[in-house]
Amino acid sequence: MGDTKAYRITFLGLAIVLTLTFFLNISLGSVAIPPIQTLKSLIGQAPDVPSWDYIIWNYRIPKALTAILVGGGLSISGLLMQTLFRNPLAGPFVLGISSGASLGAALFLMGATSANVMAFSGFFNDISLAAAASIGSFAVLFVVVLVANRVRDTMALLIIGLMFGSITAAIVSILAYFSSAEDLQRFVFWSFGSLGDLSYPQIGLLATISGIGLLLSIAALKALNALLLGEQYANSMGISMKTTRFTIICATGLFAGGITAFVGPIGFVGLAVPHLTRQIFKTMDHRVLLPAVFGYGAILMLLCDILAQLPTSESVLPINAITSLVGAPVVIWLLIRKRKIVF
Amino acid sequence: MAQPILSVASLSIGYGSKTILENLDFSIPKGRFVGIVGVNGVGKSTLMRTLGGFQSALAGEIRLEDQPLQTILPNPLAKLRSVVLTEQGVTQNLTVQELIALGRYPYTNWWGKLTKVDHEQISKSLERLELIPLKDCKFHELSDGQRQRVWLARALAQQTPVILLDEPTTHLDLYHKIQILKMLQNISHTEEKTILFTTHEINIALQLCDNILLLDPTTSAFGKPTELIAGGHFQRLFPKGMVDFDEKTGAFVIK
Repeated sequence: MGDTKAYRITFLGLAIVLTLTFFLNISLGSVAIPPIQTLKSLIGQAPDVPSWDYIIWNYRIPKALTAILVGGGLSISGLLMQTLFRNPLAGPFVLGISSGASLGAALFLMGATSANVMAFSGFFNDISLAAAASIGSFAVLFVVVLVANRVRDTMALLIIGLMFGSITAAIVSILAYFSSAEDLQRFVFWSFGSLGDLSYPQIGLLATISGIGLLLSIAALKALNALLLGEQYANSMGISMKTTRFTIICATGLFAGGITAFVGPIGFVGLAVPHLTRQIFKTMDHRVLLPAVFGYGAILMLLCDILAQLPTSESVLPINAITSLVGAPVVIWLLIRKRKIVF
Repeated sequence: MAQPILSVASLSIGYGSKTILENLDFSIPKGRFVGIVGVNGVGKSTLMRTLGGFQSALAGEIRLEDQPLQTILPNPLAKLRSVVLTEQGVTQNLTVQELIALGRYPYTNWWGKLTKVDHEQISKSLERLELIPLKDCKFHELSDGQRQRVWLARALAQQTPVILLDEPTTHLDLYHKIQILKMLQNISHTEEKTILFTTHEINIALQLCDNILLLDPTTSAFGKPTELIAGGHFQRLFPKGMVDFDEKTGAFVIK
């Protein structure tokens, strides 16, 4: 593959934009804090109003860090799925992982009531919601991995993933149909997604999960490049498809499953960012694309979060709606301008 | 006969319980240019897939460099045989050079870093198939004949003693068919590579190949073109009545 050094300047630019977006993200919010004061707080000096320090360190920075992990992680899993399935429409959730998380969350929020487990209301908090969602997503992932070892055809796996998605979505609908308005509302709120609910330890956990996913993706980099020629050629060059597929699925599962568990199902980013990235990094080399989609995804997520916060206003829009509302027109515009997809 | 690089003994091929061809026996020495012919559906592609190690044989043995094929691990196998497939599930967005560089996969480290040797092999392949002016073109910008040359160059960059090609001349006009096959013949003879390819171009294959493997459900045959013609094997290739094989010119004629 080409020279990875050729993209040094582009990467430098990406890093600068990421830093600026990060700073912009924490300077803006429902409480107006002047950028100079934000900077002061960041470098450890007390800002003019003591509560600003609290807002920045305990609310805005965790949220911005979450946005980076979520945007970057989902984008990497989108890239992995698009290459594995040789399909530009694949995203992090094609294997039914987000539906699994929804099922977990739905069972927890709506199923629990019908089973009269509400007596344990002390048990009912955000962490166990995250746990339920991750159990759901990893249960689906586990089944997909089992199936992946049985079917040799990757395309069959794609369809099986979609079928699992449909089954879980159907169960969620049935649960929703029988649950009370209150529980249903809670579930709907979860499905809107939220970046701002994570504590530092939770961010640490999410970062660890993503870190393992990242290591697996890096281990698969060379195989991902060979997969650009299709499975048969990859095979002929000495790649074990079974191992590669397993590694890629696990990496995606860790990213998408972990992220969905903590922040809810966030659509669009994982599908679109790899395409947006390929418009700037004109290469198919995964050694370049992997860090690039991470940076790109992180930037997009930080920007979407800024919009969702509606700076200086009290209200917050659901992040899941914003990502699509902002992202989809951008992708449509890019495709119309280029007239064809670079894939 | 010199030590064969590829030998097949009482081989049966097919899928599961369905045997397509059985009792195949042939051995091919180093540096031979071999065409595989047979009617549609006789099992040419299945044989290619079996020889390439993509599917297992139903019975019999395949030996590659004197080792049983199924005992060779994936990476060493990738250094013994390369393939050119008909499948086109490939990304269109790679440049010619990038695609050929992927042929170095079995030799590079985990990061896929290309060494000086790798770069040399890539340039050599580019040069060999006259692709240097096209090296920075994207794959989707190329014509069918050019694409076929790129695949060949990729296989060549993989530096294997055996190259298997499944129908390398389909979609090409007569000129490009001959161009590709002449190039292959030349590579086979000058670089001591054993090249096996399936084809429907029996007339051209008879003129260029060292050996022909004629696949037939009942009597498959392997040998020099002249031997097979003398043995009357081509007369039996197609059902009687429509086409006939003229032994004097070594060509099929329409009746």
